[in-house]
Amino acid sequence: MSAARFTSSTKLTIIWIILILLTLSTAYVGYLELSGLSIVGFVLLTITVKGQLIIDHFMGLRNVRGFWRLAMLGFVFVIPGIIFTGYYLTSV
Amino acid sequence: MSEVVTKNTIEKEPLPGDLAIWFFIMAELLVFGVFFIVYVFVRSNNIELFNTYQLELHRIAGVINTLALITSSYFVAMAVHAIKNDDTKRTGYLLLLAIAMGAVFVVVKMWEYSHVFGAGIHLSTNTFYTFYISLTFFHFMHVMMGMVILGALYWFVRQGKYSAKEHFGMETGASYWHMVDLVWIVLFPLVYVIR
Repeated sequence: MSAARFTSSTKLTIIWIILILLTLSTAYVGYLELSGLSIVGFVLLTITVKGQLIIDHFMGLRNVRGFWRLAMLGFVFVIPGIIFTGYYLTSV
Repeated sequence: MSEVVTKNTIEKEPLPGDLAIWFFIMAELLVFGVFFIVYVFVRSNNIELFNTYQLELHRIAGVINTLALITSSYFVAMAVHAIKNDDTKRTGYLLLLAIAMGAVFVVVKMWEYSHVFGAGIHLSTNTFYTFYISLTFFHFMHVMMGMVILGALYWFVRQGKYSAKEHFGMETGASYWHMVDLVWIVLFPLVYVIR
């Protein structure tokens, strides 16, 4: 086991706090019952940021090169992208 | 020199856990991804219906569940960190906290289901509820399976099977639990929030 993957516990805690704050921002959007393409874009952006943080730091793929990290990141970039496209097409 | 060493180390970083779990995770994400895309496609033909019934969902329950899963995932990541430092006592403690957060998710989701089903809503009530029930229940089953895996990891930690040198199984189980979290952070905003 390489020591390079040993993410410090402080770093994990900071990432957890960021994830909580991003979740609360989505919750606030839900609480206000906001709608519209810009709101959808904002919420989907938080999904992508949260997903990347989980994949890179919680799953420990940040320093893994090659197919697997890209494939995992594909889920949090491509799926929100398709969702946004779907909402965009129905809004025009 | 040290930069070169660091760069080489990063380039050689292996995949955490068993390769088989990554194929499994990829398959699961593909299935959920297809589900999400179909949801968006079907919604595009039923916007009024989806927007109307989405507001009937208990968003606070969804938020609590998101916070619970993210926190659980954090405890699992910390547990992996702890076992890499040979701190088995802390690893066990963190896994128990992760399981407790998973239990919060299960209790809140069952409370939510009791309200939905208690109101006479079921799979064929309308298209929105077909997606809401099937998507969330499919994910719920993954949470249950994940909790069994976390329980097994805790048992193995108690048995002294994991250490700083040998924690392959720990990383494998942790990766599965993070996948469950990853799916929920897309599912929650899609079904409960964006409109």
